[in-house]
Amino acid sequence: MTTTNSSTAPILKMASGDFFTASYRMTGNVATTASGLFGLLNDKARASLNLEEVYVSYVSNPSAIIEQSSTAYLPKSAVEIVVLPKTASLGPEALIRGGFSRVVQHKVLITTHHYEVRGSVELPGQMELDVLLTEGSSNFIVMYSATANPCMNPKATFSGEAIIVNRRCVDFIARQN
Amino acid sequence: MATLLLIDDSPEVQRLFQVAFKNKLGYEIVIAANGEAGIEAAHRASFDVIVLDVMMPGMDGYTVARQLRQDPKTKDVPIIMYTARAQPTDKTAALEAGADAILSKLSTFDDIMATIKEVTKAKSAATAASGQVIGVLGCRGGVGATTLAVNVAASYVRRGQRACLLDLAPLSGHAALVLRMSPKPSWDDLPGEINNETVQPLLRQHASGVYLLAAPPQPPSSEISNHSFNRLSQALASVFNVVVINCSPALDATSRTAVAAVSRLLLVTSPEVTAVQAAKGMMSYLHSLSLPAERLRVVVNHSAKDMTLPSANIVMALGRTIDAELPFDESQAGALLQGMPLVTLAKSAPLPPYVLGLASLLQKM
Repeated sequence: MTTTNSSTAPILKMASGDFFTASYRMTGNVATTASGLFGLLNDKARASLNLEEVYVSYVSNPSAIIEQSSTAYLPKSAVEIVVLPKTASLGPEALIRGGFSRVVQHKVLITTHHYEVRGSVELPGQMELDVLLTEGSSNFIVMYSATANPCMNPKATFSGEAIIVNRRCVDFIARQN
Repeated sequence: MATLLLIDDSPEVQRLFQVAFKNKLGYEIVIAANGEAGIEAAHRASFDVIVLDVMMPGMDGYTVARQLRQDPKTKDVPIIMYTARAQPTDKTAALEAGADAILSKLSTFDDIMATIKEVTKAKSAATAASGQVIGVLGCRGGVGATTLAVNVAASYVRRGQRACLLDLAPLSGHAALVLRMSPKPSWDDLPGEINNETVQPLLRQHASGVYLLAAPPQPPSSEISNHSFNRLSQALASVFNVVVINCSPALDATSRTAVAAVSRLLLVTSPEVTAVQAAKGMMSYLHSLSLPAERLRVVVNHSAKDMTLPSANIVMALGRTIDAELPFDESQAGALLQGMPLVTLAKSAPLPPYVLGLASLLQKM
């Protein structure tokens, strides 16, 4: 869905996904600009996400809806991972790749405080994985064709074309074959 | 013209279905914007398929599906969950709630069409199957319910019909032991996808001609979900004339689902005070499950020699008539030793004519 309010208003696009904090799964929509959800998450001028049509579950029982709301504010610092069914919501490739046009995919396992995420990350050339943690100013990184399992409920699997991971929550990164 | 009930609060989805299904494909579409309105609409008219959103204001889609499955009028209507929450855990929850399929809201129109065709076709095939499903439920352990279930199934084989015994009572009776068969494989080995082809390898044919789907020898890793049970029951009923289900007197979730699904339920008790009290309690519980009274038949089984409570006292205690009274038969012990149903082994013994009569009565009802 694309809406424009005036000639100067930014283009708004609704991104749908599952937003996971330590204990909660929030399924909802968030309005993004041309930089997509990735740009929004890494926008340092905004500390929170404004979710719409939010349905809340415990991560321990992720299919049972315990609460619903038309609007909710979610501090970005509380978001550990975001599962996106489609990469279209992410935003422009150039932004996600940090301007690099040639990237190499690496299969990795990333563990955060409460989740294990398996998928591929894109890095410029044959760089070491630690650049994911040390380089650049982005708070969030993208994993492609990824699956996430909550440590407290490892049988539950959440998969998507992309999973965005909060870099501040990362415990370790391991290369996978 | 096919009729479709869409329960979804999203105007975009409502518009999609109006344009795609009504205008282009000629479906008759009724739209409900929330769960309560959807349940009411489903009860008021009959539909070929219900497409149901999960995330709706007020009642969520799982609750709606569960309520639709409990309503005799809507319990067999195919339900497709159409949701933005389509993770594996959500699919399991949707199927548990009674949905036949789940579709992501990112699905293409072709996917939606294909799924609707698939579930309506599967449901039609299941409805067309002629197999009768009969439940046998002991009011408690020790009243001979499992032995009766085995003999009822064997009675149908004697009448030239294909009969299958589905044993849902692993800890209280165990039909495999009564028939001296291996309890492996069992329904605990059921795969995720249940259909005729996947169920067939789990069936074993006994020398009496009865097919058995055994209960697991140990407590199962998990109970059969509502959805899986319905699929299993449909798969068996599509290839057997009669499916006899030996329900657990503990009435776990699977047996409760079975009790709600059978066309006839035999409640088995014995002519002694504690068994009659247990039967009365069980009848009260079945009533609370909204089991229609016309489906229930009460059988008094003389499973031991010295049971002497008069029938009149049992009728008075239960507040209803007894549908069949089965005599004690000494040759039953020998049949159990040989692992053969008595109706197959000793046709001239006292019990077989009663069981055959009971089986005949159940099919006439």
